[in-house]
Amino acid sequence: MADVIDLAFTVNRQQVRLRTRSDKRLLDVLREDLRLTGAKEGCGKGECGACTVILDGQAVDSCLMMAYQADGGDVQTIEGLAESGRLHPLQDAFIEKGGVQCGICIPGMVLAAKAMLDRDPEPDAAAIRAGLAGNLCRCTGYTKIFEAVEEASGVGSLKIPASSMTPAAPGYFRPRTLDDALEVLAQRSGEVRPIAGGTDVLVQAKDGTARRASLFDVSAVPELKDIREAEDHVWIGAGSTHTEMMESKALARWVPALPQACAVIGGPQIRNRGTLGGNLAHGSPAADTVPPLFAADAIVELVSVNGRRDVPIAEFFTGVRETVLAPDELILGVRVPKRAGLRAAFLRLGQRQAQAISKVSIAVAMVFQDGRPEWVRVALGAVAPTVIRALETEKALMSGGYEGLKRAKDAVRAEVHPIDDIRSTQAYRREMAAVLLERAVRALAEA
Amino acid sequence: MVNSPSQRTVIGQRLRRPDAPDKVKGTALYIEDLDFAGSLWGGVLRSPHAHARIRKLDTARARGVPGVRAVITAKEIPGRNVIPMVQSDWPVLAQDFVRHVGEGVAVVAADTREALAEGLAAVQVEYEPLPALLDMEEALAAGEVMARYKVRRGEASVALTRSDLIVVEGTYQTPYQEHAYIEPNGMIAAPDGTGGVVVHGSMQCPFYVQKGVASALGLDLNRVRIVQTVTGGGFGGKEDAPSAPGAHAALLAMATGRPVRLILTREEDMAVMSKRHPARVQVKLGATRHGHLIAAEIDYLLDGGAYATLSPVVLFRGTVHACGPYRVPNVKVESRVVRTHKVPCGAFRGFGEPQVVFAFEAALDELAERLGQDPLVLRLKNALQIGDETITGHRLSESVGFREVLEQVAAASDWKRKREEYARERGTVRRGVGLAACYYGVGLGAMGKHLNPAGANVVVAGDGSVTVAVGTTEIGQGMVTVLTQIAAESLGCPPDAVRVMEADTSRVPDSGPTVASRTTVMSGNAIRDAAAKIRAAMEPVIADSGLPWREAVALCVQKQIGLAAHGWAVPPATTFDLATGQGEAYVCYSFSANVVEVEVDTETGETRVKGVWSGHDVGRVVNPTLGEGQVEGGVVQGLGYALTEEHALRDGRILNDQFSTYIIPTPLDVPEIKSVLVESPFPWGPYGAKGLGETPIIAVAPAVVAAIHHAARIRLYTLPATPERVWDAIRALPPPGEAASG
Repeated sequence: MADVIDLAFTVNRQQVRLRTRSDKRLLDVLREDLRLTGAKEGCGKGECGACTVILDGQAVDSCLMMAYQADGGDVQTIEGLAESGRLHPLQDAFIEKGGVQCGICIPGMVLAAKAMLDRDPEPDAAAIRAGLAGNLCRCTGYTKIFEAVEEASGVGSLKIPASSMTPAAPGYFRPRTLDDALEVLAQRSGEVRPIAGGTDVLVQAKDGTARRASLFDVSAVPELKDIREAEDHVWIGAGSTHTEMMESKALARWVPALPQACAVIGGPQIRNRGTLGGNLAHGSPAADTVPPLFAADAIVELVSVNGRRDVPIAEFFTGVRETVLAPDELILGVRVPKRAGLRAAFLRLGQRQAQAISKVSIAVAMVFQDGRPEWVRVALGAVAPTVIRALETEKALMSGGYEGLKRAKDAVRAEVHPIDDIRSTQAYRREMAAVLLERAVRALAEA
Repeated sequence: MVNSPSQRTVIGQRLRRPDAPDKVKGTALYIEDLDFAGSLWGGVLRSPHAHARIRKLDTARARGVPGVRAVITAKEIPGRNVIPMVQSDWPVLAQDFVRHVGEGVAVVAADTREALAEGLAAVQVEYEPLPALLDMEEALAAGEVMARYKVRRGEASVALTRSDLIVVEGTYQTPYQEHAYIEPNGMIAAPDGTGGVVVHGSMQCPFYVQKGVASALGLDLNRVRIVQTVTGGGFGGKEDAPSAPGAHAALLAMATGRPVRLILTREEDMAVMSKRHPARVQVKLGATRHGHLIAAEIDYLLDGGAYATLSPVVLFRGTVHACGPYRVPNVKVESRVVRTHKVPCGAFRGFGEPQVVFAFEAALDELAERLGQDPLVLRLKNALQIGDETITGHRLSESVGFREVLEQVAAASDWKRKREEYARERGTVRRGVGLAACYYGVGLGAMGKHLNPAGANVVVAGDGSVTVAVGTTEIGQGMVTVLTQIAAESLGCPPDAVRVMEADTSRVPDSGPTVASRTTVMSGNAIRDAAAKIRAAMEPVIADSGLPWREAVALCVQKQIGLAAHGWAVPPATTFDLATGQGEAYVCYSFSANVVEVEVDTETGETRVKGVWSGHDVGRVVNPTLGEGQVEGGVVQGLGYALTEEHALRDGRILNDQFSTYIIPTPLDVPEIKSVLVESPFPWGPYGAKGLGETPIIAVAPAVVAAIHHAARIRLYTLPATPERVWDAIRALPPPGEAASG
């Protein structure tokens, strides 16, 4: 039986304090403890978005969060959207434009739209689609949903001010300093598993390969946050979310492939919760943030009660979902050296335009001197048990010109070791590595 | 004013959905949202094997788990261990043998989720694995045929040998398709205290569930009450399949005397609930040099899975629609659905048509190329018109708007210009447009006559408010809105006076299933029948008084006029001969055509759909917003079928059982969609309406594949058109220059 914990947060502007089981997700507490059943469980894995709520102004999948991760936060659910019986303009627009059919996706869809409009009151057609990319609907074909959001946009700021509440501080489940977090890891090494976003681990928990009761949350640890520019490097806290990395000016300048990669991960809800540290610790060969770090000579900073150590990114992964991370260690952050004149691109192929796991991905970084490559890095994802750096490909590219590119394409075909799986085939992945390489290099050369 | 039924006011209006406010507020209650006091958690122990003998099934340990309240296996079923569907082969729980991965072996009810999991794990089953038939061709060779149909018209085999014909031939493969409704299946059953049971749940067909539950419990139908909760999507997936969880929950409720909630996880739902049948279709099609279709031979094979459920009727529909909405004088269709050791396939929007239509339309596209004709011209030349006969010899005497549909989608999409312009594209990313068409027999037709009638009870209260009960269901498609409009129109009352109730088997007689685009027509006509009776009763009192509705009702109440009536609709009689496949397969047909525009990246094989113009002859548009909604939703499901959706299996087990691996379109994957609704009234339909639910999905995939051909010059014979398949086909093309000489 799981522990009992105390939680405090505001839900729809009301202060809520409750005692509940520690292994509940935010969705469970909303639906079972608070009887707010507007958030639906369509998949329990953050794929459909039907459980979307707004946490501290951001759309999140409430099925991919432990309840204690919302401690001290501000939660808006669909039940709180209408004010004194008057529907929110988005709700009116969904009715008026015919955006509702079976309705099961609608609470999540409306809240995703609201979170988008709160940030960008007049999104264009592409932004509307991108803002809803984390929500699946099987009835409407989305067309009338887009029309509804367009109809409701531009009517001025509808933002409900976030209310704050003193957290209940639910024990070791949500440490608030790095020392406390490391202490939890040291004391319960092997028993507990840290999560920050939870977007990968809670999927594993549903599949039975992780236990919700054994998790604890490091997302409130301030030492893991922030993206900082130093003299010779950029430091990215392990707790940085994909959304934060996408929006970082420092990263756009010094590690441009990284925000490009973050922008294609999942949908908004996943990007708002998923973190760089989580992506690294998960150890997937298809993780989109990793090739850009390989192509940037990044250093991973690990920390435990016994001290700190640096691991070059190329030595961090040891196999499929295997890393050098010790059970009592936490990823503190990633250091990326600055390099003047750097150009970088991330490209990938997935099974669809959003919420897709890469079939093959590539990050290419280059520095040109008088039109000739002076420094080159090529890294690929989903084509080997770990992300790989393609050294022979880099050598070929260094020789420059069309011939160099042609030899690089041959080299990359030889350097990848893809497999057949449910997402793609070996032959396709191998050739696409060459196609994406050429596209990335041409884009950088022309930039 | 009480409107006379001839003064149309509500039909054709964009009436807002009465069910939408609750859905946008989050107050609509789906099955998962209901909370019955004292309810138990129900679950199903499922077979890990595709085919095995159950050597031992011991539940003693499971019964001993603290918190476990009941464990039921086949031998504890009080009634028949059969869920009646087309054939009686589908067990409630496996008995002696399991015949597909995921088949229910035992059901357990417990106090908590944890106790349920423990109880399920404690059931001891010993399986003796047996060889499994997992391939439909092997099943055919082994003679495992569940049902077969044919169409014989003219002399197809002889005609196809004519030397003056251009003949194309091909073998086409289509995959499983998952309904992917966002709400998984779920039921809550509770004893009613008088020996009967009430089952609430997500479903399309309460009367199917009622028969399944009654059969399993050995109860009369009047002891089994089924109530549909707000249902989060169906698309056919909640037609036959929910009878199993309904029966499972009801067995547990009766055994424990407590409410039992049995809600499937997404993974469980994808692994064990019904799907669109995979198919193999062989087409041989011949036309004169001028493009007149002369003969077609079609061999249509479906993989039915382990149990027949609805497979025979799915096959029938595909069989009689095998040559699309065209005149073909010589036709031979041979169709079979075979039994394999895989999850049973069942109903899915389109119902046996998308597979065979993909094949036939793809062959037609190839024929157009061989003839050097525009695919639109070829279709117009052979399009069914009033006075023509379908391949089953059904002479069409009314409501055939096919030519108009073709002409309008061609005009709306700028077909002719794009067809010429895009053919000249030479870049890496190339555009293309493709066209495909279909027709769809409305209602259950010759194979479902016994289920065809539908009822409605209409009650006008003293305050003028109207309660309408029907046996068909709202599953998101808009039934409540359309029937509100029909009730208001036929009673002459304002639409906001009407409330259409959720389906409940205790309110109306068996009204058949909510399928086959029959709901508007059948329930609509039943409501009109009831409304006509009520108005007939009102007329003598209100005559020409000109009273507003509510006052007219008050006057009738004062005069003790009964303002309630039962309506009943029975479609016109049809005749059909199964031996020849000739006759009136359905009472009427909806017609459809799509133009799809794509961009194909010839290096990566990726296809982006840029636009779809989707035309439909629906008889009469009752509500344009809902009509467009049906089209847009169906088209996007069709795009998924065309491009990304398929299941991968290993040893009969579905490998992709979640939304991250079963790939449906997201908001970033959908193109601009333009609906073109054509009205060619169906006189027997309510206000001329016929069905629209299914046509939007059927002719999408062949239009996509034709557009890919236009863009990249490759022919695909297998769905979905994944980048890998497109890339493979492009690699196999002869180098430029050789094509012309070869």
